[in-house]
Amino acid sequence: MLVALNSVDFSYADTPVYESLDLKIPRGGITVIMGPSGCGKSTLLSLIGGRLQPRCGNVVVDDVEIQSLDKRGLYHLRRRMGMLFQFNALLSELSVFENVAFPIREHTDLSAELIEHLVKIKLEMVGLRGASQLMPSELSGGMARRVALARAIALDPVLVMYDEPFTGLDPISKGVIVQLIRELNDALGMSSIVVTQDVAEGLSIADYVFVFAAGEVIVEGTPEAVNATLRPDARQFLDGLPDGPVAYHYPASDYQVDLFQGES
Amino acid sequence: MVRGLGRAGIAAIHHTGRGGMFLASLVGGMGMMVRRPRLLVQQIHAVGVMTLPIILVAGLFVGMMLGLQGFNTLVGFGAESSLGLAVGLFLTRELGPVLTALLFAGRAGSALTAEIGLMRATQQLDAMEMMAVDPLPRVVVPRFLAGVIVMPLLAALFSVVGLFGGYLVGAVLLGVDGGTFWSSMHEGVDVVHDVLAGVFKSFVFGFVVTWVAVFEGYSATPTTDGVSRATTRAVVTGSLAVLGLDYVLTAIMFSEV
Amino acid sequence: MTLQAKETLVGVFILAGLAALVWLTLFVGNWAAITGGAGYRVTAKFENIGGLTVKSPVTLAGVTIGRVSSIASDREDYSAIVTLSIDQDYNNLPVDSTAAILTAGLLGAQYIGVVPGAEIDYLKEGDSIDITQSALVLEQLIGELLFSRAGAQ
Repeated sequence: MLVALNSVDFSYADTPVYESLDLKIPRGGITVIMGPSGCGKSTLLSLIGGRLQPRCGNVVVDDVEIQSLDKRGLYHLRRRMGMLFQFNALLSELSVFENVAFPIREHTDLSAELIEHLVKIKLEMVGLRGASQLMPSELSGGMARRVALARAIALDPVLVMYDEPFTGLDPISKGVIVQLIRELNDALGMSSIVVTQDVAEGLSIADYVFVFAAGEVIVEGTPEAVNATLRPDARQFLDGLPDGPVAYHYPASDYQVDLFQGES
Repeated sequence: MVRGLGRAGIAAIHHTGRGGMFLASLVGGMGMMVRRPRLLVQQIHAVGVMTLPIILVAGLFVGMMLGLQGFNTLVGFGAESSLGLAVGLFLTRELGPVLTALLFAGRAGSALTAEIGLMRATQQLDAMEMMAVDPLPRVVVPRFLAGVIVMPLLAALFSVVGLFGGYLVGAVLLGVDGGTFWSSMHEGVDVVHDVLAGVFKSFVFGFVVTWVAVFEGYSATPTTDGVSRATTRAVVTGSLAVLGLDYVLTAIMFSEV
Repeated sequence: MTLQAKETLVGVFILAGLAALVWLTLFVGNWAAITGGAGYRVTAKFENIGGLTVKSPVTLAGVTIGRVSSIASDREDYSAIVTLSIDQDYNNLPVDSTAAILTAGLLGAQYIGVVPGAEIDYLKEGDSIDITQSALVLEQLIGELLFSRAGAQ
């Protein structure tokens, strides 16, 4: 197992997110975590990355228990993780080249020449070697995502986490990202965790799928198995139905009473 | 009402406490600047060089105003020969440090808050943390140090330009003897009690204004709305802190003479 | 803008700022408070200094030649000991010069006026001026005036 969450409890102030969550993510493949907004998908990535601490339980990444690490140890572990953020989070003051070079410069003492080689290799992988001198503000959404991807794999991590990698992209760019995640995962021998709400892309890319709802895993398995589930809450999410176990209406008092309470 | 006031008071105290902790961690992160002087140079450029034009123009105007007002007031006592002294004292003691700090809070301080706040809102700081780079020494410390270093230099340039503005109006336009202008200044302005006291003031102002600016940016709510409110708060808090501290420092430094 | 251009600008900026600081300290201000001025100090005893303060001017025939650098009280005869810091340019004051506390105008600030004596020796560091005239205190003057008129009647 690359990542294991053992009976994790987590809550934001008074809002509980997980109660005794158990989750195991295998090495080597692409694991896709799906679920509607607010079900705690991104929180999961923050727990794995050690940016949030669970109230109870523990998180083990690459055989290291995150809670037992001090800041140095945590930062050391993070060098083996890459993360693609939802809004790319490119450093706006640095060029494309410098963004990809950033983790390399910060963590190694390689010569300028070697860094240039490494960065060019990563940029070539995402097809943007020609754009290396552009600034992030000059990139389209799809290009920015690819640069962020190149940066996430700059240090050849063991694990890459993708937070909503398909959101806000046009169909062509989406296709490019789907293909890149697959290729990079297989070519570099990494493991990937993809958090997404895009069902089609998520299922097409996954080796293994977890479907979340309200802080719990409701379905897991291969994409085919998950797609064949009959659970109504999972079906509602997978088929994109407006009403179902997740109610269309926000909880309210009785409609007729509410409308006519003024006249009596 | 009372409860609301109490809650706001507790929130303000909490905010201040967090600011203090933040300052402590800033000081802890200063070691890195020795190894990465380039980061500091870039921020001195962003914070200092970019603020310089507004400081120079404002200094010239303020100096000219002092020359005019000073002349009109002093000529009533037949004391226009002391114009240089009046302009020199006003600029070195008060107007140089204070106005520079206020302009700095409006120009560079707000930019710092907005920049760091946007880095927070667009997850750039989170991304750094996930790349195992602590954003405090990498992003915040160089900006903070740049502000502290730059402020006394800006204030000195403001005063110098202001003195020439005063000379221009007083001596060239209104006919006070140029030699008297400079000699009365040299006679009456004291290096320790006036010039260095002013430099000390601007150092304190630089420290406080930049601290407020980077803290507000760093702790901004990560939304566009949160960043704009943090920017406003940084300018308001920074400016009020400058004026309040100016009174305190003046009371301490100039009272026993 | 390239990094090198930025670094150059920063260098120019820092040098200009430092130059401004140096100019302010060397040419705008004076170091009198620390060095006591390039001059020498003499003391003078007064029975009453009135409103004289540290930094009050010391004048010779109306020309400022120095400043009061400190004021103390004598423990034995309860008089005031005033230290005058006089500019080196005026090192030709005879030892029997006198010092008087004068007032600029009727109610103005008080200062010390020095009247040169006739000896050939000059005052030097650490000397004292023996003949002094205390401040005229307006209330005392008025009091004396009323008293003498009452006595005359």
